[in-house]
Amino acid sequence: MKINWFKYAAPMTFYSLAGRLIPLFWIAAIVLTTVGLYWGFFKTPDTIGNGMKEYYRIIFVHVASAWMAMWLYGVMVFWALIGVIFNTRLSYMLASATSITGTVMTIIALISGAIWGKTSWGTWWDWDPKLTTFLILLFVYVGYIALQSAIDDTRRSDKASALLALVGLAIVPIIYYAVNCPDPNQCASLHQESSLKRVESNILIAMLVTTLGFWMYSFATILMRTRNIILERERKTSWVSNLPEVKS
Amino acid sequence: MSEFFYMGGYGAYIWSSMAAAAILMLLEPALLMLKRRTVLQEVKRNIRLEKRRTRNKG
Repeated sequence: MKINWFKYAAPMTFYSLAGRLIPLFWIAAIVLTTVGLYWGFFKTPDTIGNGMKEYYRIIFVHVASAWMAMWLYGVMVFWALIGVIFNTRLSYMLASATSITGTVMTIIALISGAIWGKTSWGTWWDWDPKLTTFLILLFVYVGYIALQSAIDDTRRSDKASALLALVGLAIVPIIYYAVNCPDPNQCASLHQESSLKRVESNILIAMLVTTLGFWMYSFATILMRTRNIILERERKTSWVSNLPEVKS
Repeated sequence: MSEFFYMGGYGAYIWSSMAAAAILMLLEPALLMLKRRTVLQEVKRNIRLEKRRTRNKG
C-alpha cells in the first residue's frame, strides 16, 4: 500500500489526526511513568554497588528528562531541516512546538541534577564539562525560542531559527562525550559516567520505563502545542472556521 | 510508611526533585489547554467581526 505522506503534511489533516492521538499519548504517558516510578521505588535495592544510598533514585527523573532534552533537540533539528528542504509549513510548526517541551525537559534535568549533585558530590553546581555543556543546551533552546518570537514574519522566523537549531546541534555530541570521555586524563569530571551495562537490572527497567513515559508525555504536549500553532497560523482559512469547536 | 518518605535521610532531596518534575509537567499541559481556549476565542471573534463587515458592505 502506498501512503501519501504529504497528505499528513497538510495542517488540516494533521490537526484532526493529532486530536485523535493526544488522549492515547496521555494514557501511555501516565501509565508508563507510574509503572516506571513504582518499579523504581518499590522493586529496587536501597543501596547500590559503590555505596550510593537511597538518593540514587533521583536518577529516575534526572536521566529520563536529560535523555529527552537531548533527544528532543535532535527531533527539533530534524523537523527544521525537513522544513528547509521541502518548505512544508507543518514541519516548522512541529520544530517550534518541540522546542518548548525540550526546554522544559532541560530545566527538569538541571534542577534534579543540582539536587543530585548536592547529595552525591556535596555541591549544587560545578563547572564540570557535563553540567556546563548541558547549561549551554538550555541557552541554545532559549535562543531558538527568542529568535522565533523576535521576528514577526513567520516564514522568515521559521527559516532563521531553523538555521540556529542546526548550528546548535553541535552541543549534543559534546554533552555525550563530556562524560563518556575517551581519555580520562583529558577531562576531569564530577559527573558519573553513563554506562548502562553496569546498572542493576531493576534500576535499569525503572529508568527505561520512566524515560518511555516522558517520551509519551513529550508526544502529547508537542501535539497539543502544534494544534495551537496551527489554529493561530491558519485562523483565516475556511477549514478552521468550519471546525466544530469554532462553530459551537 | 514514614520510613518510605524518609528514604534513609535523603527524602528531602528525592521528593523535591520528583516535585520539581511533577510541577513543571503539570504546568506545561495546563498552560497549553489555557492557550487553546484563548486561541479558539480569538478565532471565533475574528469570524464574528468578518461577518459583521460583509453584512455592512451589503
